Amino acid sequence: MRVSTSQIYNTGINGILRNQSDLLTTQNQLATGRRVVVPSDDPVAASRALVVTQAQSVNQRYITNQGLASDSLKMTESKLQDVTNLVQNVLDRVVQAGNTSLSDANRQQIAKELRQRYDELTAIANTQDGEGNYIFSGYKTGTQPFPTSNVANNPSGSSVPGIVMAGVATPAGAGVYAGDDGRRELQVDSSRDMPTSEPGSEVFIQIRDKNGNVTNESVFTTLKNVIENLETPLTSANQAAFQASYNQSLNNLHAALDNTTRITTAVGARQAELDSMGDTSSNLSIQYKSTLSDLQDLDYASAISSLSKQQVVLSAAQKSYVQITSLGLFNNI
Amino acid sequence: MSSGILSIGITGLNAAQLGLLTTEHNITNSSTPGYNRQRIGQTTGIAIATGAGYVGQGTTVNTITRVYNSFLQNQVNQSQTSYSELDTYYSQIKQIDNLLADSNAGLTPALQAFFTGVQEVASSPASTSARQSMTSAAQTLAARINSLSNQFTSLYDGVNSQLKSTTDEINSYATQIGALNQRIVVAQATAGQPPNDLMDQRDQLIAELNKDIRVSTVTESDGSLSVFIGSGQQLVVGANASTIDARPSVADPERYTIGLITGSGAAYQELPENLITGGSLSGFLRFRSESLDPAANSLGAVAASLATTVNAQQSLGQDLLGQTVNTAAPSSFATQIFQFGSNNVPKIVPNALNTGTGAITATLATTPGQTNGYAAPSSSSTNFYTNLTNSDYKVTFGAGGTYQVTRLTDKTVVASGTGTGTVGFDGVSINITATGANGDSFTIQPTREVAKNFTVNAAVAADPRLIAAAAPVTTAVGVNSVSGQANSGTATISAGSVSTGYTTPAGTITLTYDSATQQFSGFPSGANPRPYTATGTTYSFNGISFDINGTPANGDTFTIKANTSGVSDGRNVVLMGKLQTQNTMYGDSATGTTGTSSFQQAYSQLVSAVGNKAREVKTTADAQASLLEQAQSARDSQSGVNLDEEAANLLKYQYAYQASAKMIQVGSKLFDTILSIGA
Repeated sequence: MRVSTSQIYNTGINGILRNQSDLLTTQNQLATGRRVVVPSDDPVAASRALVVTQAQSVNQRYITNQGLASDSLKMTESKLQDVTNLVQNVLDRVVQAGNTSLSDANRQQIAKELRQRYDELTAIANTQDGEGNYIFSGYKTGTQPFPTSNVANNPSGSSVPGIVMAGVATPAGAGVYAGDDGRRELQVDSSRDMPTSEPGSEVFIQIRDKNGNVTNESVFTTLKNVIENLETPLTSANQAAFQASYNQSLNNLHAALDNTTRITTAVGARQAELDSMGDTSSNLSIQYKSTLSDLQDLDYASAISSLSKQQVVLSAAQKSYVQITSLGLFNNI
Repeated sequence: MSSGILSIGITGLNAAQLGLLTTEHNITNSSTPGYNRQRIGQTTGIAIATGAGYVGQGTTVNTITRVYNSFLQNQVNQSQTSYSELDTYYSQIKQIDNLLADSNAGLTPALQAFFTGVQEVASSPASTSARQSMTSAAQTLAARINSLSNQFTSLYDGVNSQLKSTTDEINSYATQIGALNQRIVVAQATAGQPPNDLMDQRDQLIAELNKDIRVSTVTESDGSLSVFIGSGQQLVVGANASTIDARPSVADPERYTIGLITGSGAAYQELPENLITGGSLSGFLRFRSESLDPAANSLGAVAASLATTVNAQQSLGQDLLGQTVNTAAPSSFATQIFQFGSNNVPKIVPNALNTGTGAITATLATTPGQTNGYAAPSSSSTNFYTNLTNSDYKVTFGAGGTYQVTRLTDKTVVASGTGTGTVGFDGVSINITATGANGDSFTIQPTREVAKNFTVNAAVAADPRLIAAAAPVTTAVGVNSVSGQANSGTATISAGSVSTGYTTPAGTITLTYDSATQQFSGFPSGANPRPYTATGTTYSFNGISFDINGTPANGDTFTIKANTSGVSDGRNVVLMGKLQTQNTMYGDSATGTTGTSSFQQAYSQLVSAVGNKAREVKTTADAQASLLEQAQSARDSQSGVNLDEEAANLLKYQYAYQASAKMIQVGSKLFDTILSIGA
């Protein structure tokens, strides 16, 4: 075949340019560590990678939310534990006060201690988290759910307010729960919105015994009744009334304990659920990472191997170009 | 006799000289683009008849021809024009390809950051700093969408200006070809010999022209070359060149298109884009219609869907100031978190050639007349989604005020009718306020400019408390109507949710249970009382829904009222966050299909479409490049100069010249011999 001189030059140059372009691609891959540098390198992998990136980011958010939910539940759980301890303590004292050999003074002494408990309970019920939000006021975390009480410093025999839900008339002079029934929720998994709080109305107001029946008395009101009952001097005339009120209070205190335990159990179950979710989410996170890496990342061994191959080819193209173009009849004339 | 010797020697000298000249011409032009090697056509001189037979009279050079094969040249031109088209296409699409999936500059990270911001608010709705971080993320997202859109706009502008400069180049080639035609005709007629170098120049211009646009040529009998583009539109005939020009198209003035002015005084005539094939001109046009339009539209569709669904969810909420969509004036409640353009409306472009007074307005809406631009969830299991597509639409008026709406991607007629009024299709509602004249048309671009105009509502950006994180209603266990004490049954009520068009309860709505009839009474609208026979019954009224579970006692009550002071309620913002993974896009009102794609999926479809196209174009361009190389190689191996060959020719003609000179010397010696006899 006849060959023109420009063909020799063009073929040589084109070969060198092609090799350089291949080399540049490989170098770009090596520099970025990615096999797919632009979507056209592998459109399917590139678009899948975007979807996986979102799944990974959403999963990461779930992990964050699980942490936040867990923090919030831990706080609630610890406060519920305080309530349980307090009610247990009150129950012990009340049982003690039921001893018929005690004098009025003894009972008033116990009642004085219970007044202290009453204020403590109010403080627990009005607990604020680190950001100043009331944890037991439902959605209304900016509103103090229970009126502040100061019954410990009031003299024996003075009235204790008690607390009721809005709309209930008795007892007269009682404080009203100012929160609402809202349970704050966080999305902790694709199909799970987890309640992270318990409204004060459930914990302190609507007390259910272990059969689920409502006692019609808040813990505060039960305490109020106990205190006022114990502070009333005992006479033969009011002996029966004392005993009736005493028994009622004992039952209600037990119901309060059951109620708190029930809620604590529910909160604990959510904690357990979060723990198991955390494992799944972490596994998913690892899986997404490895999927992304499979989709995008460079196999260095094969990239470096093709780099050295391309180097050899380029250098051969360059050398042959120089040698071939230096041949010419004119050199010999 | 001896004069014969001299004259034959001189023919040899002349021929060798021409041979040397041609060889030198070849050598000096060995790297001139478009040069075809030339050679002399040498034949024997006319012999003289003598008694001894015909005596040869030396040699003569008839002509100097170029070694040229029009078939091979044509193959080079055809390959070149296809390659230029693909190469131009690739150089353009590469820019989007790089842009879209960039882990820093693409949409993905900003979109994810926005929804992370939403989740921040969901985890602490009362915190203004969480709300601030959500609005900041929203602003970043808007800026990212704007910046992507700006890049698209600059690509559109780039295409416009490239079309303009390419047509200028074509016109310059056409004029030069016309001028060369004239010179070639004259040269050929005067000398009766082919003007090789002029013809090379003209062929080279044709080759250059093919890089810009595919042309076909016809050689006329007088030696001139007629050049045609498209389906036979004349570009050059004889010495006359038409003018090709890029001007704003009549359908959309922001879009340049190609047209032809066939003679001086003739009108500018737009050429349909599909007539322009080959060359960079076609590369630009194809890139714009096949890749840039869908990319810009689908980014717009993602942005519009994001804005309308997030806004729809926002409208169902209650902000930190306690305001809802139902709050009486003065209210600063924001129904929109994102906005695009004034009133979030599609772009409408009337055709420049319209003769009538037709007028159209449009909104993004599911049903005609609706203004909010999203499909409301049909039940609690679905979510907000839009029916927008990536297409543009054309409204064409016929006789008597009839019209039809065509979806441009698949040329489907999606709506038609007569007279004024509203009509809806694909998530768009148009209102024909005045019908156009027969043949008038309007282009509707529902999503094209959304990304450009996408912003965060300034009110929300300035005051993040306006983010409606809470739900507007709360439910509660009430007081037993019989005992006046707390409910004695075990029944509970769910938190409650609202749907579009809900009304906020004015006071407290109390539902009371009657165990004798197993009914709840107190519903302010709809059936009242309503039966409660199974746990988990769902009740709805005035757009408010909730469930009641468990066993109520006689007289137990539940209350539903407006949410007051519920600062930590994140029910609505949790739903907003869920939009990230729900199928919020590409529903179809014609088939009743709900959303089929999430924002991220829609975006990754765009990335994949562009990536696939870029890959396809690159692969085809590579293949075309090697076809071009082969064609060039085939041509060059015939027509190209080989310097070694020319060196050999140089020697050959040099020896021929020396030999002829020697003959003359011999003739002279013979002469001297004869003369010396007489002396």
